[in-house]
Amino acid sequence: MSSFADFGRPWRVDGGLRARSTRGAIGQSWWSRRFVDVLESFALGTRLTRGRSYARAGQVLALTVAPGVVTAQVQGSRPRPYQARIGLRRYGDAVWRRIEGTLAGQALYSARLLAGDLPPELEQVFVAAGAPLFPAGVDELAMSCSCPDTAVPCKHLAATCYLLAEEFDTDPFQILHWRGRDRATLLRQLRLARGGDGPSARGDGGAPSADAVPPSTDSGALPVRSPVGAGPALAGLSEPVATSDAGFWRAPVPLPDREPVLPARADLLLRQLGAPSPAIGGPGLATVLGRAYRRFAEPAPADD
Amino acid sequence: MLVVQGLLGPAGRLAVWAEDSTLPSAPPRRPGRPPRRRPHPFAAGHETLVAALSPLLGPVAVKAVTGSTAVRLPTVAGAPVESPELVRTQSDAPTTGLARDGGHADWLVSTLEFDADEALPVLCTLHDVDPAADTAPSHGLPGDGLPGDVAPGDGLPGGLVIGAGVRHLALFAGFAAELVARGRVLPAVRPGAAPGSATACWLPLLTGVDQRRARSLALATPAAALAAGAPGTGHRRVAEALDALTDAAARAALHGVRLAEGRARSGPLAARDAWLTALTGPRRDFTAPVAALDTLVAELEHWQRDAAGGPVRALFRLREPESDPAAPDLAADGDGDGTVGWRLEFALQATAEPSLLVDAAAIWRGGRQLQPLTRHTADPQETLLAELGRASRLWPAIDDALRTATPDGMDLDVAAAHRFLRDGAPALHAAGFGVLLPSWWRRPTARLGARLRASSRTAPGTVAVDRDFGTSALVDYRWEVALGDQPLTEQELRDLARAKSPLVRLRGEWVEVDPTRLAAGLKLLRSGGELTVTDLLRVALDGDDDALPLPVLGIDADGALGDLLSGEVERRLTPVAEPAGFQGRLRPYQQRGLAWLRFLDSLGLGGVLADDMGLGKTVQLLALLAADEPDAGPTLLICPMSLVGNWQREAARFVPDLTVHVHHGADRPRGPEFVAAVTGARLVVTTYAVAARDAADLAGVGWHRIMVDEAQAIKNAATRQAVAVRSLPARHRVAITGTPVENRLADLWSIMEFANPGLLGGAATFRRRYAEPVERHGDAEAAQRLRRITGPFVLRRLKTDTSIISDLPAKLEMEVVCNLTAEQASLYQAVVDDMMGRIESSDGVERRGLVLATMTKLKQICNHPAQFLRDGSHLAGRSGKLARLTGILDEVLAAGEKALLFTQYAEFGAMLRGYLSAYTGREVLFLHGGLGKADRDDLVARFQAGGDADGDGRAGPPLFVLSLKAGGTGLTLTAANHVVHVDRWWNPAVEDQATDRAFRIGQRRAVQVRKFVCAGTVEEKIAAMVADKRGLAATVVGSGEQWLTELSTAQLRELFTLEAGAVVE
Repeated sequence: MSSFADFGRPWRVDGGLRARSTRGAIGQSWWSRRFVDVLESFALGTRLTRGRSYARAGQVLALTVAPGVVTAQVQGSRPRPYQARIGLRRYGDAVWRRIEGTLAGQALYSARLLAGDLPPELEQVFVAAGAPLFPAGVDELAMSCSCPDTAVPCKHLAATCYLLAEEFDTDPFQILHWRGRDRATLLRQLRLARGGDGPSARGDGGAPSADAVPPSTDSGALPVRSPVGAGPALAGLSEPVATSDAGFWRAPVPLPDREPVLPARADLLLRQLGAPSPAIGGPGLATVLGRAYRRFAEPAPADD
Repeated sequence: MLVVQGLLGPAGRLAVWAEDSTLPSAPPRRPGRPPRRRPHPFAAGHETLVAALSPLLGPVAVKAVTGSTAVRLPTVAGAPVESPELVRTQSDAPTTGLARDGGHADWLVSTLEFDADEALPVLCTLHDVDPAADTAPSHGLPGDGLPGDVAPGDGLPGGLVIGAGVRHLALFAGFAAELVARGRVLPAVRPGAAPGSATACWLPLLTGVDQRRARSLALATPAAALAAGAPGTGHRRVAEALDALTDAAARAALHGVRLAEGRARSGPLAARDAWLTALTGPRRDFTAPVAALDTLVAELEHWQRDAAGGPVRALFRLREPESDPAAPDLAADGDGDGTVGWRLEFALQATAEPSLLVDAAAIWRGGRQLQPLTRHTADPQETLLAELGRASRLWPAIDDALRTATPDGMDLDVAAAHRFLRDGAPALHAAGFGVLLPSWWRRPTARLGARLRASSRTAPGTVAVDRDFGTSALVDYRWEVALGDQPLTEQELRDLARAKSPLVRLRGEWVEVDPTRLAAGLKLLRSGGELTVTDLLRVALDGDDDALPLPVLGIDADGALGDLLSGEVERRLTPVAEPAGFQGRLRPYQQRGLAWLRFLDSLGLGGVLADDMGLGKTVQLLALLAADEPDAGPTLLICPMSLVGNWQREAARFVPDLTVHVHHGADRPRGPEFVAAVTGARLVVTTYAVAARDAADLAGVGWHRIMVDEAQAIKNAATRQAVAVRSLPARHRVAITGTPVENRLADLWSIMEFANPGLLGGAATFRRRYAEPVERHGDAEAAQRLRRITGPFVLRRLKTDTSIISDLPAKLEMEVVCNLTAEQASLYQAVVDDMMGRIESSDGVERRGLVLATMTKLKQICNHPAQFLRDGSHLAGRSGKLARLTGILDEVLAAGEKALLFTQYAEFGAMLRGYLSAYTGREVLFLHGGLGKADRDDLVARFQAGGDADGDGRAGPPLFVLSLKAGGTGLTLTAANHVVHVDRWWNPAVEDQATDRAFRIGQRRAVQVRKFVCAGTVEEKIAAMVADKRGLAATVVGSGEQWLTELSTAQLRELFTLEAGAVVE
């Protein structure tokens, strides 16, 4: 059994991984929900609740997804963080090649994944290949934790699961990674599979073969820093040269005529961005901001 | 005079300072090295700044933080270089603007400082200060001091000029406000220095067009606006200013709005609620628990990451089915082959390099073709996939195409194509994707609409004056359904109604058909009846889409109405020859103009005569007056004060029998006396200010016609004078303007509302239906509709029209008669009285000297009181010549043309240069005797650069002031096709030589030469002598001014005396 200290207050952590959701359920997308549901279907009661609190308090110090295993360091009530480990069956190359063959056959899968979504049809692809993407039950997860608690999952594992779900939200490739294919490899394989007759056909044309192109992890629609504000828009302009007096007081180059702007609904941006995360109010926040955008589009109080 | 300058500080802060022409141009000399930072010798102090700006800006100027800022200015000979707008009337030599590379130095100036919230309205106000404003309060003129009837340039109190730098910064403010209005902003949070502190802000989202605009604005920022602050930080400050002004504009738009619901929560959403609260109102900072704040920052960034596209974007191109010439019409009637064959093609496009476009098929093939694209993205295939994935969120139908391995497009049926055109394309385009659509989409000629066919009840073909055909005459009408301008047959309509397809190929063209509207249109076909002409015009031309089921495409009518609506009535009418009583000849296009005016008159419809300057609008209107029936009743002419004298003289010259009454001056008759004075006059001339003031008296006269000259004066519909002028009843109305009115739509509305009240609907409706779509969104269709409505009532011929050009001489010389202001007249009188006394009591060399000095003084007064007084006082509103000059130059610039301005006085040239550059906001060149050859060559090259106005009128400075002696010979200045002799040397040979700077080999257009004289003064009298070769031998008179000294005292007195009627003020 454990000592008294094990049930004391956990050590506070600065800079830990913190769940983005601050209330209610964790996991916004259907696929991360899908994963959390497995965990919660076992109704483990207080351990899950406390695991969620851990996740929200930032007690998880690090989380690493690797083929077949997710490892995390969770700060508990002892000075030394616990090692949590969640194993899941990784599929072998043969299985993956089958799956990749199907995925390459329809651009939809890559397109959605690269845009940050996991298309629902993807689950069927895995089922058809005899290799389900999601675990059907907790028993498929090999969970272990270095904490003294004998229950599995303990709150540290639960916290790890919640953070993992949010990791899936942000980057659905991570689920596939856990099952054995990292993003770069998967994309490379898909590229090869799409190549139809394969690299040989390309090599004939003298074009650089697909293999020669180093796999890239930063192409596509990976999130970049927020593009908002005038700073990035003006980046790269050469500074004006201090001229003699004639040019000093006037525009150094003529201002071109304005280009026409297509009319669009003032709240189009909100539609385009979709719902914010529940952590900051979810769709409710979009509704609130929608009021502001509609006001923007109203003409200023008439002056005549 | 003050020239207001603006400095961009960090975080959108604006500092305003001003150059003061009454202060010395150089600091007092001190021995030793100059200190690193010296006080600017002629920067206005705080009190002066506040006093000058508070009438414009109100309390914000008084409350502004005062400061002292170091400004890095070009410096020559130990003094800061003046801005070109600054006018010094007593400066010894104009030294500004021509020294090169004199180095820069820091000068301390007094500033008023504004944060972004204050800077936004301040900049908007300064931007709206229109130098030619006719509504701004005038500053106590001598004499009658009529408000609103002063020369252009009087909009600013006490000689205040807004420098080009501030005007440019004001464009930032306007751009920021527009971004907010279009919703191109995102709410953001910026963590503060202390843990748990942060600020909320609205930031601009600058993509595509907006990014290009922002970059253009940044690049065109004058160095003067960035002269405070470290060098090399200019664009950072511009970026900060755009951010801060956008934030200020968003908050201004959200005034009174609360976004956070209820009171701030303390739970997990505490940070979010505190942030929402800080997104409105003046307070931006807020605090929240560190953890909650971190969440907010991360989540907002996560949420907004897709707001702007990457360096490469997807492009969607819709292709219509291959057109088969043999395909039957109405091919989409269910089983035709137009239902399929539409294709939406995918491609990738480099955002910064739109011409770099690679089709999806090529991307899948790979190979060298992709190399240009790989500059922007490491893996084009994955970028294409990711872009398609993003697009499918906005337009889920794309998913269908993604079922193949290497999608390069998707086949659509006609319904899907229509859905894409209507819904998908706008959403994708607005979200930053590229979209290319067939050109017929939303093109007016490809739209199904209604046409109105009207027949007047008068006998067709009679264009003769028909008194019964007023705006209240009845006409019969019926509706037709048409494709563009082609009416459709009954059979085609029935087929259309049967076609259950939104896009139908009709006569080889694709057409959008809305079944419900079509059904309603078919019902409309069976309606018909009778309408008054006004109602018909309004319904047909301005067909209200809300009330009618189909857009109204046009109107066909017979008889006079048909001629009018054809838009070519001026060319169809038989030209009207010079009427009896008209002394002079009309050129062929002037005869057509007269016919057009007579035709509208016969219909009781108003018109706008907007011919190019120099085509003789005044002559056409005088001919119209001469052609009136003797018992037609009087015509009222309303014009700016500066034109009254010109109208009087032109009327006397061309229609000597016309009885003219000028209604002006402090002692003008009122009430019954006014009626008596007007009775018997066929033309009553008055000014806008008097018309506004005496509206009650004027309204009591049964005017046959009201004409407004320089109709821009009533462009602001809400001003008192515009309201008053519109309210005067008359049977016929004509507006005259040489400035194209179609560009500023609010102005157009106001002028048309005068000419044909009610035709364009109410001001608010007009703004909603035309001004906003056209000006804000570049809606070509709305612009087209507007042209159709206004076209019949606006006659605008250009000098360059082929039908005009053959009628025009290569060189057109005009004498322009200007008024004196009351101030000029009293100075003139005082000089004559004083000098004549001294001339009488002198002889010999002394007398000669006095005569020539008198001549000089009088000519200076005719030019401008400030030239005579040499007191550095402000220029606007004090000289009749300056008022005429600005009016003429407005039209020159509006036409994109260039002008040479000759004066024999270098100091007046310097004043003109400063005043005109401030007035026009354009650089004005000045060539005088103090310049070396290299400088002269440089000026000439710059003026000639960019070619003439046939090309891009913005190339090179458009105005060139030259001193007659220094610039009258040798130079080639054929970029100009206007020459103005602002004052005279009475030597035709010298003047012609100067004119020939423009009128010489290389000139490809007609040159207009204007010679200014002041009415009733020695200028007009000598001009008459030179012209008539009368009284004195022409060779003597026409060779300068020496001959004056030979005149007897009595002759001199006759020559110098100011004639009555010279002043119209």
